Amino acid sequence: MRSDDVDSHLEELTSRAQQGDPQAFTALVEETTAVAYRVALRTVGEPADAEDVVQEAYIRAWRSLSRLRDSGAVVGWICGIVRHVSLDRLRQRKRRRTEPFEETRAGELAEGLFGGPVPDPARAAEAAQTSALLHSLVGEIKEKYRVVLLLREVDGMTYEEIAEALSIPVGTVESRLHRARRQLAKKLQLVLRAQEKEAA
Amino acid sequence: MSASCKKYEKLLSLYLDARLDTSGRAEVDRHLATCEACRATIALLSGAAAALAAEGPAEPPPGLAARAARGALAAGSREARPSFIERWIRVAWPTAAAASVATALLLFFGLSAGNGNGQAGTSGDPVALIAQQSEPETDELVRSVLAMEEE
Repeated sequence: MRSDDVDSHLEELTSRAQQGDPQAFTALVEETTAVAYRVALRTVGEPADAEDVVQEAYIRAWRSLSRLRDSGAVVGWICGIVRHVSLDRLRQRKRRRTEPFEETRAGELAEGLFGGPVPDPARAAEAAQTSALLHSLVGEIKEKYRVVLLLREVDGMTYEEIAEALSIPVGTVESRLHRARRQLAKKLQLVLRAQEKEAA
Repeated sequence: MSASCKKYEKLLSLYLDARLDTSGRAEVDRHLATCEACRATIALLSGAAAALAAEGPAEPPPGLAARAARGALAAGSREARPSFIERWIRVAWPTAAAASVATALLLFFGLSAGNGNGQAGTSGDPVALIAQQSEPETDELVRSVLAMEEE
């Protein structure tokens, strides 16, 4: 969670921006872009799309900032707009979340994750491939669980930060994270079984 | 997964994030000491978490904040927060206009009807006009009912 000083600084910037102060709005954007970008990226998946989403979200935020009643809730409010724009983008694109998982690649993933016999010169490339494969498994998890999982595991956000960004209670963060991990564990178990089958 | 594992399912997630108190952690530790399936799950999830964390947090592209702020300020005509008087006018004006139109219509039709019947003295009271207009019909209805009862 942020310190009280940071919170009151954001509140002050928000109040000034609500009065139409462009410098305060610019400072507010500077302060909140990192979390807005992470939420966008974890929702839409592609960095270029996330960048577009963030820009569109701040246009909407500036236009409707006067409607924000609680200036102390500005982070959640901006991230709410980001989520809305991101989900619009996903719907427009009608993109499938992931490519179908190929069983033949299961062994590679398991080796990368659990220290199998990966040749040293190729380790960097293997690591990148492992990450891509892991993301493909994570990508199969339902969107609302996946976003929480990625914000936690990749971005290292605390439960409280995730709760604030997504405007959900901490208890909901806990349960979504639990569900995401349960699904991921099942998928990883399938990977391991596939690896064992290959080895046999 | 055994029935007792179900009980620990949610706790494992909190355990991974070190969000259990001392007694909760000790309870999970005791379970893990005897449950191979849960140990395997923890190992899988820890491995995945380490692989994901190795990527590091996503950082916005350089200059994104400045571009976003400039773009918003250039594109957006800001919705000013309406003052109390403005908000009151927004609500009150349509209501007053609708009431005026209704009154005018009532007066107009009332006067027309009154003039048509050649009745004087009630032109200023549309309600009285409407009442007068309906009276002959009412009387006729009452008379016909009474006639039926007499028959």
